[in-house]
Amino acid sequence: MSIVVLDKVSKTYRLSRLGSKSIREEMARMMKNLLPSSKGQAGSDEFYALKEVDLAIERGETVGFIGPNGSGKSTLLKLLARIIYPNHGKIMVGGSVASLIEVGAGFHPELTGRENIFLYGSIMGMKKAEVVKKFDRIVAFSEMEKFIDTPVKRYSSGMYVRLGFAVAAHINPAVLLVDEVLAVGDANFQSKCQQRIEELRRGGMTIAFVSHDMPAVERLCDRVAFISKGQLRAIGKPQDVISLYYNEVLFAKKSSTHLAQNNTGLAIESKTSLYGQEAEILSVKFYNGDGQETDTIAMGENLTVRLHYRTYTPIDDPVFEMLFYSPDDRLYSHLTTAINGEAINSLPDEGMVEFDCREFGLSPGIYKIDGIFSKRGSVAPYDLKPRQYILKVLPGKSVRGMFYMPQQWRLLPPNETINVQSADTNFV
Amino acid sequence: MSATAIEKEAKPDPLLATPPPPETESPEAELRNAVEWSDSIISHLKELTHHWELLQLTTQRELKIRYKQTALGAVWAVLQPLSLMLVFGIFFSYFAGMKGDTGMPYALFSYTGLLAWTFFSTALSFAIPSLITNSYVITKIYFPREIVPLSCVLAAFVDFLVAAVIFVGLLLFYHNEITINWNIFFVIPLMAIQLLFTIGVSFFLSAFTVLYRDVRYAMPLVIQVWMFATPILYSATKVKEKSETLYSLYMTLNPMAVIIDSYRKCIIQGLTPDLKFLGIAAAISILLVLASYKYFKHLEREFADLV
Repeated sequence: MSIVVLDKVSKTYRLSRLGSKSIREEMARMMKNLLPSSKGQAGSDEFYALKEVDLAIERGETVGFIGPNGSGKSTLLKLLARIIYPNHGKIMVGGSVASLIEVGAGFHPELTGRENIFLYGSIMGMKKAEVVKKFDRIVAFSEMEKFIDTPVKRYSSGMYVRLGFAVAAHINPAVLLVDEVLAVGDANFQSKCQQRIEELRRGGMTIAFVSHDMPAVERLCDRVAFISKGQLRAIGKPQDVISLYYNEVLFAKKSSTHLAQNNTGLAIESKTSLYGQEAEILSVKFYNGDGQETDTIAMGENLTVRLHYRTYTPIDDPVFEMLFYSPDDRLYSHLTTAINGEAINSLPDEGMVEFDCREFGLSPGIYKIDGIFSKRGSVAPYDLKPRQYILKVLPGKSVRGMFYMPQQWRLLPPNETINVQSADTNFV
Repeated sequence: MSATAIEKEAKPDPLLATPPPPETESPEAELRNAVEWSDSIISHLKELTHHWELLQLTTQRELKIRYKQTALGAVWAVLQPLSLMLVFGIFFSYFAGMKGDTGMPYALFSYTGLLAWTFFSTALSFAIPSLITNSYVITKIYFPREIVPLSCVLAAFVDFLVAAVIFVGLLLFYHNEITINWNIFFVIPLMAIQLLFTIGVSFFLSAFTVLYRDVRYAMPLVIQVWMFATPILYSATKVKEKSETLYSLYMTLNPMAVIIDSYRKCIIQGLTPDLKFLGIAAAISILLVLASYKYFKHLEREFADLV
């Protein structure tokens, strides 16, 4: 049974009328509208924050909303929370709604923590008796016992948010709206917040959840809705929708620049290159577990990379390297035959080096890869292809956190000595 | 160190062990349409009573934050009308020889007017910009927005009651020169009418300020002009002596004039207020409250977009 139904909901803003204006501006606008020339433009500065969104959320379900910044996710939550109203369409909600759109938003700096708990609780729709009943639990959750009679203006921002979340986490609405609040506080408190949300969820609360934290979305949500440019692009199983999101948003933007040129010219040497005199890297190609060439693999999947080289002088003791960079140019992984491979004694003039990884560990996203061909111990490589190759990683054996690692789990029989085998990740 | 941290994280918080069941809704509970939310005053009032505790708390907050950081605290509520009374007493009565109505000590005469007027002007000066100053909540959480200006008016009303203690003292001090009788009970409907009128003006102007910020800057001037158009420092009978038609126009258009004149009549002079004008003032107040509440709720949907 649906608890939230949106029927062709649109929310528009007039770009020129954001915020309020003075009477003088208003008169100027009216005068302008009287002139025939500007009349037709009335709709042109209308901006659709949301456009004809149809959506139904079932009772007890947790729905995640993902999408790029400014796509309308938060607008949608604000509509559900009745903070703003749609210009068109209907929103039906079967019960009380509480929003964690910004925790602690109702706090007043001059009041003490104690006074604010009552005020904020009341704004969020709790009865006084209810707050009294839950007061000790709220304070314990926030870990703020010492400062509860201090005005909140003396609180640090972390303390502020902790108290805010503590109150909010103890309201008991039919529908809970959560907007990015999980990213608050230190790691310890964050995990506490996530744990609380998880518990509310298991307790049967309906939750609508906006986040950019894909692992959290995948873990917490029953369904995920992907919103782009004010429209509902897709809704369905978390993994499917998150993959679509990665494909459409993250990769689309990159492919228009980097990938396009790389797809056509993986082997094109740059004319200004200092490298490639004695030897060069001709191409780097990626293969998935089925042995098919690809530029996209899932996290935890088998990845094979073939590096095609050619030498122009005899070379002994070469080293091949690959460096994985995030789009913001942070080095995520540096893999080299100097450490992981066997020493190569005789190298054919032209050939392939294969890198094989049984369970690829980098988290979903897009990676730019350096290919390096050098002599062991030498500073100047024979060839360096900086950020030349692109690999896209989709969620696969997804877990929360920064990366995936190969693993084996088993239940040890009683009294057996601990002897857990590690998975083999060596290559070449 | 890290081991204890991990241990702490792994151990579930005993306080969290039992998630509460979600609010139980009857299975036949229908989806409420938040867009075409019933637009009648009755349903608005119903929702407001549902948030009664919030109104109480925000009113308390208004009072607390106003007096928390001041050394004199609630004394300020008294000080404003009292100091004005002394100043006016010295300049208007002593130097200019102005008099109140027959048999009324000027101090008592002016304090009656100033007390009632201070309530009105304090309420407006806090209520009118209240939606803008509270935008940080309005854009984040839903609750009936009328609570914001309403709590400002109620806080001013509490100030008014505090300042009235001095008024009772003055009444006792001058008890030989004034007539107190059963007519004093007119103060109860009078305060009700004034409260309604103040709420009406506050609803309208606070919502209007969200649309046009000009109101905020125009208000001090308007309040000042309005003060001189109200018999606070002078007697309404002075207007009557000049011209009967002007007087009836004056009393019809300015409910505050009727209210203050009536306070004086029923408390100090022991007279029945002019029921015709009082009736008009009451009618204006009620209509104003209804109309401005409707206007407020109509604009309410855009507040979060505009503030």
